[in-house]
Amino acid sequence: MMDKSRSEIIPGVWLDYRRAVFLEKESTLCIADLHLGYAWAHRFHGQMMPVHALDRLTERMLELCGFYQPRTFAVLGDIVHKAVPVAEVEREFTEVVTRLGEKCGLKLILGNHDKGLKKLDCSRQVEFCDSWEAGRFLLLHGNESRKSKGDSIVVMGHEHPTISLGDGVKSGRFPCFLISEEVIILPAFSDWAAGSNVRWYDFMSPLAKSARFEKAVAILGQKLLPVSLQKP
Amino acid sequence: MPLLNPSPVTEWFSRKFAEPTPAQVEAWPRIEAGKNVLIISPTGTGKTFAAFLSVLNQLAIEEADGALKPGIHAIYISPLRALSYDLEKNLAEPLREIYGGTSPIRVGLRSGDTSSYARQQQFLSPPHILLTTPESLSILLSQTRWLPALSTVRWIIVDEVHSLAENKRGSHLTVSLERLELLAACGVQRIGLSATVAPVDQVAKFLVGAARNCEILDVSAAKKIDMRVYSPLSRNPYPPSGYTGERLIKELARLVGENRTTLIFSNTRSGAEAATYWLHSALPELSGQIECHHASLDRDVRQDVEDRLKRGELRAVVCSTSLELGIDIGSVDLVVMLSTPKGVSKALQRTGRAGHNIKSISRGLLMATNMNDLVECAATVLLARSRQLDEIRIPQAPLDVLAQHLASMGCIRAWKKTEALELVRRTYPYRNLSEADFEAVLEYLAGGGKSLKQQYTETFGKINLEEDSFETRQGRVQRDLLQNIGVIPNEGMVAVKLKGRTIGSVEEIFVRGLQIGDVFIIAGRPVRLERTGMMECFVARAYNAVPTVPRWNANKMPLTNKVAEAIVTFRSELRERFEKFGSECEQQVDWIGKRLDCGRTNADIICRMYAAQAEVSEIPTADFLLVEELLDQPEETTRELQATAVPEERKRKTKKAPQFPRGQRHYFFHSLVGRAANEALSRAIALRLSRLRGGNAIATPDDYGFVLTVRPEQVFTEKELPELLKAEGFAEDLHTALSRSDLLKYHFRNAAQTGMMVYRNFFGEQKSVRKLQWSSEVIFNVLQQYEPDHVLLREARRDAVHTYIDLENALNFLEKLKGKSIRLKRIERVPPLSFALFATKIKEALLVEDPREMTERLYHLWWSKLE
Repeated sequence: MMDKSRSEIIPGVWLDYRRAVFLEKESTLCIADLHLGYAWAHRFHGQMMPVHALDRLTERMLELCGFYQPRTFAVLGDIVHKAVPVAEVEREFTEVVTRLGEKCGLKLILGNHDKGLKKLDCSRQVEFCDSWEAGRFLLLHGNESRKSKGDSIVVMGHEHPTISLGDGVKSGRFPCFLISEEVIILPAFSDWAAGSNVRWYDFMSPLAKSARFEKAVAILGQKLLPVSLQKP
Repeated sequence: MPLLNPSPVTEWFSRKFAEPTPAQVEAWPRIEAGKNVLIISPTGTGKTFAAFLSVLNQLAIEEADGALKPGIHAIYISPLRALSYDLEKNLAEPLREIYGGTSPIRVGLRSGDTSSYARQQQFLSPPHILLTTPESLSILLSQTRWLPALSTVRWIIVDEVHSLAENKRGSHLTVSLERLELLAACGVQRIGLSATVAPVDQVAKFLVGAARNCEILDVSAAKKIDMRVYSPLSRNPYPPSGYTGERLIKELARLVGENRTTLIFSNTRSGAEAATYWLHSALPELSGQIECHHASLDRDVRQDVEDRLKRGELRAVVCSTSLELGIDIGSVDLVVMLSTPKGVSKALQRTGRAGHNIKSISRGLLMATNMNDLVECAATVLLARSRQLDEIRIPQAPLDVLAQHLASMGCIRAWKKTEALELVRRTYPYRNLSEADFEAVLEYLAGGGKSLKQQYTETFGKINLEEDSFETRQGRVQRDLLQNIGVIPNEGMVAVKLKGRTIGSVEEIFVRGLQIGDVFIIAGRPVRLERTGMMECFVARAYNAVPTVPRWNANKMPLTNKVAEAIVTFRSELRERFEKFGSECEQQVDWIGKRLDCGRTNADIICRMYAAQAEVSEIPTADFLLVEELLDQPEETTRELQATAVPEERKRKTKKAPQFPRGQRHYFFHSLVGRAANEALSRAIALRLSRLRGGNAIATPDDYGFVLTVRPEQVFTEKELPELLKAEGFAEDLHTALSRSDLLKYHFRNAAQTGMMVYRNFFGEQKSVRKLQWSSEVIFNVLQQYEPDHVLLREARRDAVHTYIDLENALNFLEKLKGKSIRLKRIERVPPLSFALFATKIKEALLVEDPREMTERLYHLWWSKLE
């Protein structure tokens, strides 16, 4: 019986219900859209978001690290929600970088929310990049306009894809992966991210707009569910 | 004029008008004597001058004596900008005629639309009379530089008090008024203008505060009202529902043709759009003079309609509740209400819009669109004639509004906690505010409580909270706050642009369901969707196309208890008569006609309906609870349902008649307690059923009862009904059901905005409403889990229950049920009294299943479809 919590969607590419993609040959684990310090970034600007630990972000990342033991752990952008000089935000960032860095190599790819992140105190001696090539894959955030290079399969975040599924009575929204021949989009790792319904096909990035997504893989609890997408 | 001290103003009035109206005669001496006054009267009774002439008079006298001080002397507040615009014109006239071009007494208008140039001018040279909205007043009160101009205020005039009292905007206003009183150097006099409303003493207290006196002048009897019921129903007890019933439109067209100007009210925006469209089709020669008016149309579009209406250029306007309030709309011959207005006061208020001067009779016609409607309309008219008004409910201590006010009060200075609490408690809504709640709101504003302060170096609250005082943080916090003052929530709407001009907005969900080329109706005319942008869509005029009407998520107005009670009594009486004299309609028609005062044709239809009910099932009365059990959806009912679909919808292949998956069973509970109480009953009972049997139940309430739709494995027996309907534990069960509901999330979203947890403009970015928007659902879940007593969650619960859910009456109903029998009756076809419930498209499935179980079930459902 197939283990439905993980799925090898194309040879060497594993989707994991914990909102991660594992590139087997390249021993690279990918997650996207952490939005660290979400509530604190809001509070800094006067919006009283609750600051309870909703996401056990670091624990979830360490669990994935322990399971796959990848050589590289890549975060595909929007590492922080906003690079504000707030102690809690910097502390969260440092914690992630330190504890993960102990276990595997880190690749921190910058996204549009990470403007100014390099300048914060916590970023001293931390390396960032705008994109990274891992074998036949090109890892990036997905906000910039660029064409894919040659045969590389783009792995990105940025769109926060979710899909609505219902039983005729009521529908719910579930985070999902989007799969096409050239582009793989990850769901947001952070629970704070409000997603957009992929059935509407209203993408932000040129890369996503030009791809033909035939399939979404929804995450229902601890299981993965492939859903075919039919363009209207 | 002996009622007022002589001045140029009294001279002007005597020249202009033959005599003062009754409202004016009653009001002036009392206002002169410095009393607080609530004037209750319909349109066209001279309310404006009843309030203003005294004020103008006093100012004119002082001006003549050279004693008119600079600063604002009178503030007029109305919930609608349009009212202020009207008033500005109405005040400009006497001032111009008395003083010529530059009047020494200045009137200024201030709202969200006022240009920055005009605002600056107002600051440099404050108008003596300021016309404004609750939000703008609050903003002025929160800026230090405006305090001197506000300290000279002597009169506060609040218009449309009845509409402000029953919502949070009114609660918000009462606190602003107390803040104003505190600033005023000498006492402030409050004058309120209201339409017919009950209970008057509470509304008066709402106006003046919990402990002050107020004289109540009710001159509504001065204007005569003629209200009737019309039913276009044919002899069939299962008529087409909805406003597109051909006979109704024919009759409506006839009325429009016969009257100079007809004002037509629909309860929903969709209904207004549909009716406008159908009237255009029925009266093509008049289509240029028939317009639509509702809140989702652009302000310019609405203004245009209002102006043309005033000038007498329109033959008919179809509106939702938007023209209920007293904007000057010229003279209207007839008010038609499509379907029951859901309340006696509303029926009177709307009818009162007809006949523009005190001498004319206001004619109102209620057009029933289906069976239940007919009985309801008849009951409403009877109650209206005997002036038995339903009562409004004034919100009690909304905490999100309080948070907003405390934060904006803190902008001008530090406040001692005791001082702020006393101020707030002087208002009616907050008179019983507990110290604990007050403290909780301050804690929230300060960053969220002691435990948080211990965990984090800085909690970044909006205010700095000391042991016994508080003050708002400087800089960006204050600026953002002032830009976000208000109670009206930001909904997910998309602007509709025609030839570059915005004509209105529609719900995002509606646009998402459309394809390019689809045609829909806006402002009563069909348009075709050409392309969509992020937050707008572009359309072109479409002719000869089959349109759909957008369904706005408008408020559902519940039936008021008085009308429900009246109908229960009628049913019991009719059943008795049927049992004594048989259900032959020949004999009963006379009695029904007299009892409901509804004419023979209507009485005949009603008789047939109830006779059919008695044959298929039985007539529910107050002595027992009837629960009908229907297995699946019989063929006949399917056909009947198709007949209720809008004729045009039938032509489109994409639209289907409402269907239910096979094998389901439906239970109709005939609890005639009004929708609000049925909302409570249906939610809690569905929860109890799901505990008993597992799974979901769809519960659809309306004014007359509710339907529980269940799967075969969830079927229950008559023996189990008492368990489902017991009063013990009801409030807790309702609370649980509510906590999983969309309704609560919706109200939380509003509370989060009003209570300033999040701003409407997220980080100043408006890139995409959907994507970058904070997810209120996520915040809601976090709070439910970690802070279930958070002030904004509590406010969301209070608001949802206050507006939509009548726990009290639901409990009353269950208590009374203890001494009565509960009957479960199997039925083969859907009887008339349950038909309306059955035909209602189920929009909100009241889900009570555990969300985790739902996910699991969904997974299995979908996976099994694949394998």
